[in-house]
Amino acid sequence: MNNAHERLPRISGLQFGTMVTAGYMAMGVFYFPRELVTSAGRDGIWGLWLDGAITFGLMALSFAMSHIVPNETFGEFSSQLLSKPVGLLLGLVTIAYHLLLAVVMVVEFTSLFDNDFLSGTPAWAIIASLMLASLYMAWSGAATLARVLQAGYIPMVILSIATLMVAGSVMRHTTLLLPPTNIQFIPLLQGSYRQYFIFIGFEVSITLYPFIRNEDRKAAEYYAYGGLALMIGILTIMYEVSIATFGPAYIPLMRWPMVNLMRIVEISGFFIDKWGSLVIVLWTIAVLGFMAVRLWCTAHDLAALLSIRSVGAYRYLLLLGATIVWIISMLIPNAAISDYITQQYLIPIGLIYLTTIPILVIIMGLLRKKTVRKLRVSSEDPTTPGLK
Amino acid sequence: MTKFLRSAMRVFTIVMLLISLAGCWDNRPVDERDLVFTLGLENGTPTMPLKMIFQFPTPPALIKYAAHSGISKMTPVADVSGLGRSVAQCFNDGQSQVSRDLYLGQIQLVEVSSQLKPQVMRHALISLTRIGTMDMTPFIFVTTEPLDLVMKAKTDQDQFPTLYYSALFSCKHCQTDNLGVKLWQFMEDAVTPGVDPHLPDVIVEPAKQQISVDQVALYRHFQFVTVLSPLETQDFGLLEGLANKVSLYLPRGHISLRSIHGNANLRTSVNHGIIHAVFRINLTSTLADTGQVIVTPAQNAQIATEASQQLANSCLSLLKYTQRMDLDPWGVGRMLSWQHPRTFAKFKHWHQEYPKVVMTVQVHLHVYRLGNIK
Repeated sequence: MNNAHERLPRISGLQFGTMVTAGYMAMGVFYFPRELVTSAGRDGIWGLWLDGAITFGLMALSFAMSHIVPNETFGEFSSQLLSKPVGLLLGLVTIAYHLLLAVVMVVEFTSLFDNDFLSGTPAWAIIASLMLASLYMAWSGAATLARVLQAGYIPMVILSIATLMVAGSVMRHTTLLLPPTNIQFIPLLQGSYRQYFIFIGFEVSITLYPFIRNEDRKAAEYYAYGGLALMIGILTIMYEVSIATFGPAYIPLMRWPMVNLMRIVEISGFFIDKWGSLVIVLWTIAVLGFMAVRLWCTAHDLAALLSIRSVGAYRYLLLLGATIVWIISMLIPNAAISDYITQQYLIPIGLIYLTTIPILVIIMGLLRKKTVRKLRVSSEDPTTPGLK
Repeated sequence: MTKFLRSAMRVFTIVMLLISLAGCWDNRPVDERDLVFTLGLENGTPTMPLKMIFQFPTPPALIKYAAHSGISKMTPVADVSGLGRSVAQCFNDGQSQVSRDLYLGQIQLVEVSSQLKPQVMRHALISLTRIGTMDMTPFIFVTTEPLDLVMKAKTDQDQFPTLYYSALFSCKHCQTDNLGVKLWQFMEDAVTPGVDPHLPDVIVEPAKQQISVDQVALYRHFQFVTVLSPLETQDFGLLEGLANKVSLYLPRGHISLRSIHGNANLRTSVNHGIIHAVFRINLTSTLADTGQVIVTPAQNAQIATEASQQLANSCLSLLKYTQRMDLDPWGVGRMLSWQHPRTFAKFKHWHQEYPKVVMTVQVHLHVYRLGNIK
């Protein structure tokens, strides 16, 4: 750990793109597209594309912010660039946000499993399994986590797309595949806003950015954009198949529309005829990926907040984050409450955070060029200690 | 991190994973469970309005079936009835009568009595679709016969009635019209404005113990309204694109057509405030019998035209009958709401508008001569 390149085990562009995509893909996918269809009806598809376009813009903004001090995490340089109190506040908000997203994801997934698959297993055991597995994935740092995601997450996504194609065979109303042309804007914007939590977790890119190999940074950004485009494509397929199968009136009455859609996919004669149900179980990989990325980010943000510069502290911080998520998740009795938390707090706070912070940091970077230069030199200094 | 701490962490992780992931939490051997295959819904008593009949295979019959050792001489299925105000109460009542776990995760068939009150049916079906372990894929049918009789009718499928019905509905070419309706499909139609759901109507003749599934029952939301005759059901199948093996006899020339099947397409339009619904039905059939030995292409075309006209007329008369009954099983209103949402939104009650819709049926029938065996 004698120079900047060694102290941070770096990740490739594709690994960065995978980790960022894993950091938001699982969020709310089980509810999808209920919020869109409930508010906007058939116009929901336009709401989804609007969400995607907004995320493209916000992602570009967060990359522009990361370019200011590319070798340092946001938690590290924010207090020096924006003043200590502001940095401290932002650090606290970021950590709380990561933890809350993790809690919401855990509660949602535990409710689904408790309801549909493991009704006899106590919630604490399901949550403990999730936390342990995601902890194990994140245990050895970013590079290992990225490789695990490449090996487990990418095949799962390909399998899900293939299954969604099979789900096309149960469609009843092909007329609904065409996007409607007479759009009502207010319901569309409402649906778009309420569904945004499916993209909101991409802010992990801010913490992850310094961990990309220097020469791969441009490619990493393209991979992140590519991951987003792929996600919009997958969500579009999900939306189209589900609305053409269940229709716009039935989806709002369903608790987990996407789960219901997968569960009606049968492959008659195959040794696992309830194929869709199996794929739902395999989505555990996506949830674990999401959790592991969250825990990894929380550990780094906690280290920056507490000014801990020891590599060995990473695992203790990881453990601390996982324990907090485990305890809070057990205190929330069902997914209806976590859904309320998402709608009332996570979406508005997330949107404000993702819009205002990069703009503020970019402006401050332009105003305090000297500080930025100093931060850049310091982050490139081989003797500066850092975390794995 | 010291070596000891690392080892301790690994041991802790393995122990915790073993505790939390062990299948023991949900593990219940299959012989400790009564796997409910069929669920019957009918009216209960005035205080307990819902009666649910849970039908499950008896353990000896299930073991024999699993071992492929032929039909069991013992009763293949057993029934338990539960009364209550809700699905949960009925389930508790049923569970209290059996020593094994009454398991709802294997239901393949839901049978509904035509007498079942709409409110009771609505609550029961919504509750059922919200049970996590229950599949979304069971078939559902209605019967005007006593539910007990239909549920216990003898069949050729190893004496399991459920297997008979689910195999029949799964095989769309095993029916004149593909009448199989899954629970989620019925629910979607029942809750969607502008469409009235339908269910296959199962009839069992008590004397012969013969099962007939050639009629369709029409609902208005969850209210049972009427049953179409077998001939009307064939026209219903043509208009829905569900026909598989419909036959037609043309008296002039003593011509028979068989295996009439094809797809149907519904389009709506609004002209000067008047709603038009056009059904375009593309069919193929085989010429099964004719008075002549050789049928020329011109004669063949004439047969096709005549048959198309006859089918179009019978379909149109069925459409008009449903207009008189205020029933829209083809979803003309639903299609209008998708194609002309602003027009549909103006109507407070679609059922008041449906009888005014101008209906057109266009049938294009292609006749193959392969079936002429003379």
